[in-house]
Amino acid sequence: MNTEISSVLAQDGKIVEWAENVKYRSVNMTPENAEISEAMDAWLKETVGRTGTDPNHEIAQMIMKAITPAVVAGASEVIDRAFDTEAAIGEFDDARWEIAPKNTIKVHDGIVGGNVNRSYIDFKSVAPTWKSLQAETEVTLQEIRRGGYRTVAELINKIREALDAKKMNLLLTALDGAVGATHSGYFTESTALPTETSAQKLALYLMDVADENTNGCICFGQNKYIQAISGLTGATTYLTDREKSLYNANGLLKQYAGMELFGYSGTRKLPGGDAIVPSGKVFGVAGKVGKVATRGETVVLQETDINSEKIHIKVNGYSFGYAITDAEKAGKIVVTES
Amino acid sequence: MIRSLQVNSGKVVEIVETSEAMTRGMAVAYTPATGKVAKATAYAGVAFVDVAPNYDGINSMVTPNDAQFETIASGAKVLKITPVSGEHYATNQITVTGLAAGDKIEASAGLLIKSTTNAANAPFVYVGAYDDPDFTGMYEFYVL
Repeated sequence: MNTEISSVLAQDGKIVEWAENVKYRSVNMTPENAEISEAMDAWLKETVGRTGTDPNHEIAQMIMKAITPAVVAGASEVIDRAFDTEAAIGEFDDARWEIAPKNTIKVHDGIVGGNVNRSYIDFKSVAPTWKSLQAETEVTLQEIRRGGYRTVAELINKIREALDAKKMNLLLTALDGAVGATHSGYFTESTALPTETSAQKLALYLMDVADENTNGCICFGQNKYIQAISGLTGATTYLTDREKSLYNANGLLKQYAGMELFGYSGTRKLPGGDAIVPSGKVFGVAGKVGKVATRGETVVLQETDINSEKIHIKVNGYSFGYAITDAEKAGKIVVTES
Repeated sequence: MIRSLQVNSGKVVEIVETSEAMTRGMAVAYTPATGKVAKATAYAGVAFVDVAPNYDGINSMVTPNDAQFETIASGAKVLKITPVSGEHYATNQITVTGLAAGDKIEASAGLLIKSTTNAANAPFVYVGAYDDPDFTGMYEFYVL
């Protein structure tokens, strides 16, 4: 055996690549990943499964490697475009973010040698809302002996996906809350799907609020809404050949009236029944609406209970903070759900 | 089915025998002299039955899921889970009609039901619904 588990753990992102390879493309394993599987299998089945001992807590280390900020942060393009996700601070630090001030300097038409009224710019800062996500699970030694490397690969994937989905849901809830009924980018729709009127209003609003920092406007929501927008009158006129073939492939457009479209599943739910991307709403974002900072590093703890022959795994400290710093750059269409 | 939500690790999980057919997760009464458990109708001294998955027959080819070990035959070897104060469990062996969060519950013929006359002494508190991958009617309770 020329692959050591510890050498796999030392490589950035390797464990995620391996776990995803096992899960999604297991017939097409790269030789390197196949070797990791073999080493993992031997170690899990023999050492962990049969003696219940994992002295270096390597299962915990693997999960920890899979959910470090660097791996998780890139999970969703939409979150990356709607929020500034660069910041990372220490576990015992706090942050304050500046809200981009409006330019409220009033200019007067004057002459030399006198005064006009002063006007002011107000700089404000905002404190992020901190969230610390935690999940616990257990895996029996029997399952480890039977499933070997697959059990662990599956566990790594599931925990990572669950944390990702929860984070995305929390951020979208914040975004949703920022665009209230009095917000000028709030559009209501009396039907169950967005129409040309509301979609155009949203597109126009985003175009108006975009500034020099805006890198394209985006529009996202559950697939049913994106599908409806793609089917609006005139939406498919003047497509390039490339756009046509994309449209023919899935019935969704890449763009509508200057907004890039992103559709999300309406059936994928968090445990508990909430959709990850809420139903009834189509969001639009022109640039960065807020900031997200990762705080500290995730902690994964494991303990083997030899009485019940289970390994208890606890993931906590998946901690991040967010704040809406520029709510004006977001808009939404609220449809009337029957 | 019984799921351990927040439990003490390292406590003993005694292997016992059933004296009648029952369902996984049922509340049982234990007789130390015979080492057997039977469906409980009591508010105190109640334990729960759990089973170890087996890999006989088709299970040796196809990995079984948690939902496949619900029925327990009379005389089968099972695991006895002794609830300890401060723990959280979820079970589907419960009658939830008329139960509201915070109600005391006790065992009746193996099922957990609302406690009326023994409410002052019943050791379990009903918490609410629990989302489970295998069962729809799972409910959480707390051990006082």
